[in-house]
Amino acid sequence: MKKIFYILSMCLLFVVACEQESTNNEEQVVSATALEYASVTIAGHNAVVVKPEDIAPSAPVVIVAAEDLELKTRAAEQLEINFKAAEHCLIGRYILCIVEAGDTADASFLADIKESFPSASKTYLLSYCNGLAYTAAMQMPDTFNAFGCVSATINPEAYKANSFTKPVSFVHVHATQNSIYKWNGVENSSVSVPLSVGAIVAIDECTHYTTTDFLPRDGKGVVSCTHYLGGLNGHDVKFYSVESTSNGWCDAEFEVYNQIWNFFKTH
Amino acid sequence: MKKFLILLSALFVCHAASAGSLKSETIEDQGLTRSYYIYLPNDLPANAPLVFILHGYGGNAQSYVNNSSLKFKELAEEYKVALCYPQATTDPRPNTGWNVYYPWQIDKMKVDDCEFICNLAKHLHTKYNLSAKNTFLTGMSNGGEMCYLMAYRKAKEFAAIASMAGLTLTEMAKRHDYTEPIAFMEVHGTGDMTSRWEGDPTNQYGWGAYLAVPVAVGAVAAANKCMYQQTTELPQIKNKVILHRYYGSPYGKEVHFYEVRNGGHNWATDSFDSCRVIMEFFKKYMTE
Repeated sequence: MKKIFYILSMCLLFVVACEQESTNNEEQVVSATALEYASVTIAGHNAVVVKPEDIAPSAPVVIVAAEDLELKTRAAEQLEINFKAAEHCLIGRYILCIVEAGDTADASFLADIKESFPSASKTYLLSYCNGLAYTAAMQMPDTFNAFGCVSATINPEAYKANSFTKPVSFVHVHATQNSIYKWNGVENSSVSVPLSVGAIVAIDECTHYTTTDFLPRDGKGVVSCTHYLGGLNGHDVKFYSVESTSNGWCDAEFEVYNQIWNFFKTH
Repeated sequence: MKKFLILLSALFVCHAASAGSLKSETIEDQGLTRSYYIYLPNDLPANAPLVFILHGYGGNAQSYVNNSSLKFKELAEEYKVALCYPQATTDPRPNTGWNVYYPWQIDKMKVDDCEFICNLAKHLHTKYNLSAKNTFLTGMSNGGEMCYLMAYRKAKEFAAIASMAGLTLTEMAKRHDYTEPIAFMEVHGTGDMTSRWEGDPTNQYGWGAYLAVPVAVGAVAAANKCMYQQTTELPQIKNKVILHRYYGSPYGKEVHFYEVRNGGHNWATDSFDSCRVIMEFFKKYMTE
């Protein structure tokens, strides 16, 4: 009898786990009231730190280097831009640090931002609408556990002055019809999207790839993920191309925050 | 009678258009007597460019010289370049093949074919007064693999390299890094069942593990720091051909990647004028 109960319990646990797995593929709505927001200045940069109320200081940290979010003039609690991104740290159980960064050719300040979280078990860098993650991957490949870039590419000036020297794990999300950071690149402004990703694939010495298409949401374009594998020391690259004109998170098209976090947490 | 004379004249003109001199020669290299064909067009100027054409695995130089679908001799007359068709040695399998680190070649095949081609180039530069800085390389299949290996190891020796259905063996990537930028071109069929577009990371098909073709081409583009790209669909003859042009390299070295949709393991001459495209690509990198 005890055995039957045990088997039944295991089956129940399995079903619950499967349900959780399936819901993980869609954005989960979590009340923001369980999050703490704090406006701070780190290394001379305005920032907002968002974290679940009960999270341990050793939790992983995701630093989002954003362009100009007018953090100075916004109350942290009214952080409308990135609000969904902020919410996701409750699901992923990590600390989010959104930094007003611009798109400079010098990423060294990001090391100072990282140092302000000395207890963090792991630190990830995500650049949003700027190419700082690529610049950091060139200038400080060992500083972060993984890198990500949404809706931006390599800064040509930074690329001329620096090179990729060490393998890094990298995730990139980009809309094919982005009119600012154009797919094929813009001379003296932004490097082509596939060539930006390709530069990381090359330094990682990835050997092959798999491609997965997501079922399109109603009225939205196809999202395709190319996963480059076989890289040195287990490094890999995920490249999400989104059929869209978005120059933002592309969160209307797919569960971008889950996908990025799922990539980060494997590193 | 008049018609007959016109026909005869036309035949004479066609013949004359490709009536340079073809010679079979040998050279001593690494203790071996290596053979090659050299084709010198009529009225070849001094310091003319030199183009190497490498045959595939199990093949030979003579068949390439005689292959009527490859228009290199006619193009050599038009572009005023010398052609060299070297012959590979016999590998341990035993088949004629270039040493590109196939599994049965590693540690067993002693000849260094990269050194051989470079030594042969120097010999020809001197013997026929050809241009060292306008020396180019192309090859098909195993010859295409040599193109990648030369890009890794001897990029400085060539003004541009064009691979047809070539691969980067994983062993090449393990042993070498791209240390010099190189103007590079790849033509590859997505339906190539011998040198597979998607790569063979586990050596399932026996040629040794090799990179997916877009990854291999991307590595050259990254070495050149190409920043921008342009995608063009060529006028369709048979298979659809898409040119991915990677440019904006601070070193001035472009990478042209011709994707032949559903194309097989060949020079793709039935889908576009691939030999002329190679010559035009080389011409971009000819210097005074």
